[in-house]
Amino acid sequence: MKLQAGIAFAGLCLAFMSCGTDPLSRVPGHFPKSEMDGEENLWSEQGAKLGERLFNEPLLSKSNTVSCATCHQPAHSFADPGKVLSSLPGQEAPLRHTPALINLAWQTAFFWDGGALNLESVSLSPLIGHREMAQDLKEMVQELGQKENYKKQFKQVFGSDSIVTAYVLKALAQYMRTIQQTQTPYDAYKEGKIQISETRKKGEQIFNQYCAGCHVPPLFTDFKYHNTGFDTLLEGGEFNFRSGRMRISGEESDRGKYKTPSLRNWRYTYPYGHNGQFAGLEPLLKHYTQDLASHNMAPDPLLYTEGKPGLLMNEGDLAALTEFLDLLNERENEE
Amino acid sequence: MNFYRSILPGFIAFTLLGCGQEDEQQATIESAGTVSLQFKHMVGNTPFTNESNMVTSQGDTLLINDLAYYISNVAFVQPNGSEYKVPNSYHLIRQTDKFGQNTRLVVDLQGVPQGTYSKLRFSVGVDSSRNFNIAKVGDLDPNGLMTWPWSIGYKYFVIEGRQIDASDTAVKSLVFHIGRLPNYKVLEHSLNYQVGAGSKTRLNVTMDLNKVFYNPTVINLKTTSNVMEAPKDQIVANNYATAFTVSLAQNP
Repeated sequence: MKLQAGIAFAGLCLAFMSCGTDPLSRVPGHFPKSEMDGEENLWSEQGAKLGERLFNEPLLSKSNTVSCATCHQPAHSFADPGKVLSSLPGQEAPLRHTPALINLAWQTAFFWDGGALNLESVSLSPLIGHREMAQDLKEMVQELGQKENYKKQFKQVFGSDSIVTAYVLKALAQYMRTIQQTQTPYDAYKEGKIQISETRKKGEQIFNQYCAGCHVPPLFTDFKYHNTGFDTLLEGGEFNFRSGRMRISGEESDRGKYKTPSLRNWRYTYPYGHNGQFAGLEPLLKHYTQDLASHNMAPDPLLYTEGKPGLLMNEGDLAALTEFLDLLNERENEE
Repeated sequence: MNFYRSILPGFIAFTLLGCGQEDEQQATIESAGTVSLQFKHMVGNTPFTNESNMVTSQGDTLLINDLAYYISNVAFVQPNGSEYKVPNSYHLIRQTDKFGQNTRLVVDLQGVPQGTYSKLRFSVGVDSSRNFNIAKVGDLDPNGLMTWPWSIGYKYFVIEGRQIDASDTAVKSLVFHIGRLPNYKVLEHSLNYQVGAGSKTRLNVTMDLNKVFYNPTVINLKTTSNVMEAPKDQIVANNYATAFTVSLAQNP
């Protein structure tokens, strides 16, 4: 009896010790609830620290020169700003633009087409993909196992002397759940900490009228898949969409649809679109406000204004909208 | 302190319960036998081989160097409907001459309770509880070659090879990589067999490649030689669901 009580007590102490400070404790109250723990992967501060080290570790790639952070740059909201496609030397270019990593702890599907359903498995794809890190996972754990300080860190977090792929993936997931963009001026405004200008208030109204159908506040995504007509530009103006979400769902109705990206920190996550085809906010807004109208067709019902294709805003509306959107950028990321 | 008082009985009960289950399992193993699933790949009536060209029932000449698929969730069903589900049942079947890969055509399943059985159930593919999971269970292995580089989940069924066409000098590849949950197929076959304590029952599981390519939907391999994505993958999956037959090779 004493032994079992002792084991139970030690177990509880270990659980409390390993939890550390929950990053969700600083999330504003207007956010929906989320969890730091994954399936069979309890979050801990030490686990997240190991994950951060691995995220920046070139040994994770076949060439030992590319880390997750090469394309998901922490200083730029985990995006690859300015790159249409994050091509790596000597490799074929990836097919889609590097998505920024925004508030992953709230997401239930990953990649542009939702091809991954949890953060524990999401890293597998870039790790082994021949257009990305092209790694042999057996080689990866072998190389990590040759570093004494890694062995020590893995032992501390997972209690095992050996390093296996599952631990690498779990640690990365723990770190990625700490990537949270929740302290923008928009959040301060919503919490009543700051006032915003009348122009920005007007911009918020415009946003709610035209954009919030997909970019739902406060995460500024509906986590759903939409066909915004972006492929149209690449196919010479014809509506000949690539497979998009259909590749995963198998539904023809999902052809050309991609996951709605969050707008948080948009200043750092350009170019925009699943193919990175919009260099900045101006051409992106032109697509919605002018190009769809000129094609006289919009592939998603949310892209119509009073029965006409396109989001038909005037220049004043656009200026106010841009002012409002600026509130979504975290200030500490400014260069 | 109240907190500890409230969790301790649960902890002790869990420990005791755990011991009881172990005893029960031990008893089951002593009165159990082995069922050996022996996979055979055919092209109609001709045994399939990686070593030479095969001619299908529709006249396509193919050389396949890798044929692999996951069989999962094997269950042995008795006439009264009770069944024994094999735990952690994910088995990679492979007939290949691909460098570094092993051919595996036999799966021995131990611990099957002795008795009379009337059905064998198994699935082709990986169910939703494991398809997006990184754990190594059975033959599931995220390190293996049966995963995608662009999506998370396992390839359920793989054919890699080439088409031989005398009138066409260009080598045309033949690549079927089928995954995705809609293509997970549960198959149930009726047959009578016995399982005896400490002995081995042998069942033949035969897969006909003609059916994979042409039944019920005839796939024109000249125009559809590369299938990896929806919706064409579902045509292949509906075909492979018809391709398996099971027969008794040897009772204990």
